[in-house]
Amino acid sequence: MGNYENYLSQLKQVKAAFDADKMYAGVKARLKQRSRQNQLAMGGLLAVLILGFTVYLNFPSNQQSLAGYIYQSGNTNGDPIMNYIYVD
Amino acid sequence: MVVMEKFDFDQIYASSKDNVWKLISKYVSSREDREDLFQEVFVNIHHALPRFRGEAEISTWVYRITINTALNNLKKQKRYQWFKNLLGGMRVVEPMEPEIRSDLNAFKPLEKLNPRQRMVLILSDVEEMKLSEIATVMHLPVGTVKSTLHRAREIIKKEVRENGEL
Repeated sequence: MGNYENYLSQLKQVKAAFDADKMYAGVKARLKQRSRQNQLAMGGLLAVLILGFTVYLNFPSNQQSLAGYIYQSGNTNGDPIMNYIYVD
Repeated sequence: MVVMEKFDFDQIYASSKDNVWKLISKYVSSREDREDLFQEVFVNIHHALPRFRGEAEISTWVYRITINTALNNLKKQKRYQWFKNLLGGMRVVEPMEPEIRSDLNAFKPLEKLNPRQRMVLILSDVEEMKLSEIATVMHLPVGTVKSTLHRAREIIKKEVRENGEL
């Protein structure tokens, strides 16, 4: 038990000095960085939503599928599967 | 909004920074890890502040966030230990001050404990908190705290015995 008590007293004496102002500045910098990251993520999400909505609005209303859309527009880009859809 | 006015972040920082640092410096050994953990704790406090309704003492709430952040941090560190070791092997090691070396020796036996055992042992035997208080801040039953503490003490005693005077 003696050794354990000695060990604990050594652990209690571990030095604990720190620069509170420097740490505070570090916390503020992290908060700013996280806020910027969140803004970027939100911006990205918004861009994807707008793009998706634009595609949705421009999609011909009388077509039910992408294959049908390609069939009507004839845009197969030389893809054999798409050609098949086009021919079919 | 009322909560934000009632519990101002700057005030919380000013009143709890010393206690948070004290606990962290017993929990992790290197200065960089301590500073990183300390800042992460206050970032988490800042994020959690709008949800704090004042049901617990602010000091207990801060302690709880500190403990959760420290436990998660150590789990993450253990996961990437092999990578750190690899980087450590490539780094030029500068000679350390005797005081720092002695501090690091004190942490060697703690490395044998898992994050929860380490935290329970520090809160109980270094910070001298009651088992019921530890159970409250760690969200654990008292029986679990007791058995975790018992196991942690056994491991440390064995380590100290095997390695002699640290």
